[in-house]
Amino acid sequence: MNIAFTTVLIFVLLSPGFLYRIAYNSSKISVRNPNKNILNELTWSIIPSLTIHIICISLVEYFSDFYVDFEQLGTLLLGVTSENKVDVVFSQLGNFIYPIFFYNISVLTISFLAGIGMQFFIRHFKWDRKYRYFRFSNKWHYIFSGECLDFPDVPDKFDEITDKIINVLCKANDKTILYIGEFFDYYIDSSGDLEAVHLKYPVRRYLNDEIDKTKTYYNIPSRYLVIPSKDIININFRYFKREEVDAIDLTPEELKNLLDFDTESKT
Amino acid sequence: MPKLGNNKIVNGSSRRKDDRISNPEISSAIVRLSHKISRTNGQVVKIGDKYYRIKEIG
Repeated sequence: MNIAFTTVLIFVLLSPGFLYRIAYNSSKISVRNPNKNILNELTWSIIPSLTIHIICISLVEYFSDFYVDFEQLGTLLLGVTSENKVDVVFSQLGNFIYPIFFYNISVLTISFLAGIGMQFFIRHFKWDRKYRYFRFSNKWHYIFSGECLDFPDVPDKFDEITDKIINVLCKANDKTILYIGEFFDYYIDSSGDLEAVHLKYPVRRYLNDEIDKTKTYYNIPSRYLVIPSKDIININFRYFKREEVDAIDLTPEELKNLLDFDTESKT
Repeated sequence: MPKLGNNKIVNGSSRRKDDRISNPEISSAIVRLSHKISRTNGQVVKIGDKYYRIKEIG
């Protein structure tokens, strides 16, 4: 038996698990590395493939008169030297080509939907935030979105966040610059490493100016700023909870320490 | 005394419905004032004619 045919057959048998994993990792919360090891991926696809095949074969045998001839499947997988038996096997394949085709299409469709469904299930019940095992591979998502506040032993909750402010410390032309802005977006490469940070309403200040309190932040005259990661030294994330209050609800201490934006922006 | 009306009671605390709505004026003001907001106690900020209690969480 031709080893190439056996390889193709094994790939076809494992393809449901492969497609399930692709669908499960299809969102921005997973890193999609195009250079991943195919053999490794197929190995990880074995258990999902077996599970999906067992369920689908059970359904087919329960609801129809069709059944899987494991003897012939074994013959195809292991290879047979006898020409007669090979002819019989392929003749059977020809007789049932359409049921075999529709079975495989159905299994692949179910696998894809199962992957999407499992991803939705885990995200809906926040299992990726509660349990590290279910966490998806894009670690930056949990940091930039603020979902890391739902990790165990972290105070406060993600739902309380109203504003996300990011301080990016950069190095440019031998100067250290601090950019502050509202989080807008971020970009990662195929390995999951940060490529750039996208800020909204950016302001900047040279870090040396921290010593001289009279120097204020410079408002960058654009709404958006993209900072490439090669210039970034570190990033500081601040998650804020904002609630509107009435003046009559303020305590005397709060009134004393009140920050008036109109006054502060002129200094 | 908290006002009734558009306040939504969430987990025992009163919270306005429109706190999550992004407003360019509010967002840019918070960016420019963020370095003055205490990490532990929070701060009340007046933006325009409205008052906001801002607290860092996490």
